Amino acid sequence: MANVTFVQPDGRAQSVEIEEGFSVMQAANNNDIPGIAGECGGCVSCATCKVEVDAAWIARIPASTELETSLIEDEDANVRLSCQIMMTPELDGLVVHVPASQYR
Amino acid sequence: MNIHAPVTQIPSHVPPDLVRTFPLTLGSLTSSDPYKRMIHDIHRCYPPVFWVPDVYPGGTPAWVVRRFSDLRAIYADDVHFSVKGFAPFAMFIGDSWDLVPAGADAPTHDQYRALLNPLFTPVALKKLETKVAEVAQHLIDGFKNKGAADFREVFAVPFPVSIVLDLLDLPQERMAEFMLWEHMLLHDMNIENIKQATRNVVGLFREVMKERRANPGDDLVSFALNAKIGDRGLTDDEVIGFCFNLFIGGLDTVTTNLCWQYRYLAEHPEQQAKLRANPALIPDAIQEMLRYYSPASTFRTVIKEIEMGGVTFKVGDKVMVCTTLGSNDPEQFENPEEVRFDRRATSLAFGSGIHHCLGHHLARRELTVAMQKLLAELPPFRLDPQAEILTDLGGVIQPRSVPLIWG
Ligand code: HEM
Ligand code: FES
Repeated sequence: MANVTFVQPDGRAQSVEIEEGFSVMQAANNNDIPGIAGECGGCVSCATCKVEVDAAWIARIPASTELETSLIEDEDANVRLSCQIMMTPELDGLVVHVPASQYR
Repeated sequence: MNIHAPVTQIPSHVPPDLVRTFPLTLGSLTSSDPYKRMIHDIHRCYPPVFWVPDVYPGGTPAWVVRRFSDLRAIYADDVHFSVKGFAPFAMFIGDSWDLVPAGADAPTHDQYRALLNPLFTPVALKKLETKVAEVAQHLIDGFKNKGAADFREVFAVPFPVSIVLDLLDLPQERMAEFMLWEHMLLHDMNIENIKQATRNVVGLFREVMKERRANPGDDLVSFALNAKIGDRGLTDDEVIGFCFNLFIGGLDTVTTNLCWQYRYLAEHPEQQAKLRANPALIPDAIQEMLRYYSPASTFRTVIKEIEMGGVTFKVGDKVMVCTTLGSNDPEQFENPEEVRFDRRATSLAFGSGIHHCLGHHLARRELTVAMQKLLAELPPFRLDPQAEILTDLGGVIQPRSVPLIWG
């Protein structure tokens, strides 16, 4: 089990436990965290699972694939698809920020 | 409801008690609103997976799966299910192209999406926003003083056509021609007309490709002609497949959702008033109406035997992925038959898995801008009580008219 904290745009934070091997998107969906839709179910096509990763953590997450990058805006530094962040022991304590809308 | 189909010949792996008629089959027509009862009755009366002898286009059999979780699993599973062979428009006219990206399986599919995704992100679409608003305003100006109109004809059909013309940098004068071809392709049951429309659309795109090769612009055709996958360019077949995909993916689906949304608001004055009083609710309202009125169904072909809902899908079987049923599954959504603007649920409106709609941000933007404009420009509207509304069922569930009156 590893711990992830979701911070909402209004500052409200919720921490949940994720089993290793599960994605941050799945953790959000399983725990009814608002603001993370995950329409494609983790298949890197919908970009409705975006989170901004806390600056302290971004370097510890494996680099994104070309497909993931194609869905992220150039100007969005530290934004990742949460379905592509798989939980590992190294990520215990991860903090991610949920955007105001996945649809803008 | 008569739910047991007359059985003619069923394969041995299909349990006879799972053979059913399916009211949403292509070619059926109803004078009732299928979203009020029909969809929910299917969830109440049918098993999770059933077999329908004539639901595949052309009148052949397919499995129908109604649960959200099973449908998500199918969308996500490219080991057992393939998109190949569905939407055989090219085959009808003896051509060899496939839809791009809808007709490709992974890994080719992912290369296409990596190329195309950046064109359809919210930021990339921002520059279209003014254009979308102008198109909406122009159309509304054409009918707002009339007091009555068939909303489908005056707005829901031309609006997305106009935007796709713009994306392809084709003159708006081609509107009537585009609308006719779209109708022949998607709403005409006559195969000769479908073939003719396919030839017309492909012919037009070949012409445009020739012209853009000589004079590239910043439109989607020029983009596709100059795009690279690794170190190769796209073939002519791939460019045609991409343009054709936009044509069949980006027009009728938006039209349909517009029709249902304004029919709904016309029939629910209190909900209409809520959005008029607080336009900030519009995006959430649209999200919920996209769920409730999810109109699209497509098919997959089984490429490796798999069990689902207690039955075995054999290689070659067809499986319907019906967003309408998935988005209204009572196991996933509390009281799915209620439209709740604050539900903010993840539905199957735009599919799921690797083929999740490339144009979903564009569609949402079109629907949002349309609603902001329409509610600002038109006084409260209602349905013409005299009119009967017929609805076509099938791959896209769409009313033939939305007779509104106002003032
Ligand atoms: C409200 C309007 C729309 C709805 C309900 C809708 C629905 C869908 C659905 C359900 C799929 C998945 C089909 C499958 O997996 O078999 C899909 C895919 C697709 N849609 Fe949309 N769509 C809409 C608007 C648009 C627009 C405006 C465009 C134009 C850019 C578009 C382009 C596409 C394309 C290219 C695909 C194939 C994606 C792929 O295979 O990776 N759609 N759409
Ligand atoms: S869930 Fe669709 S991209 Fe992450």
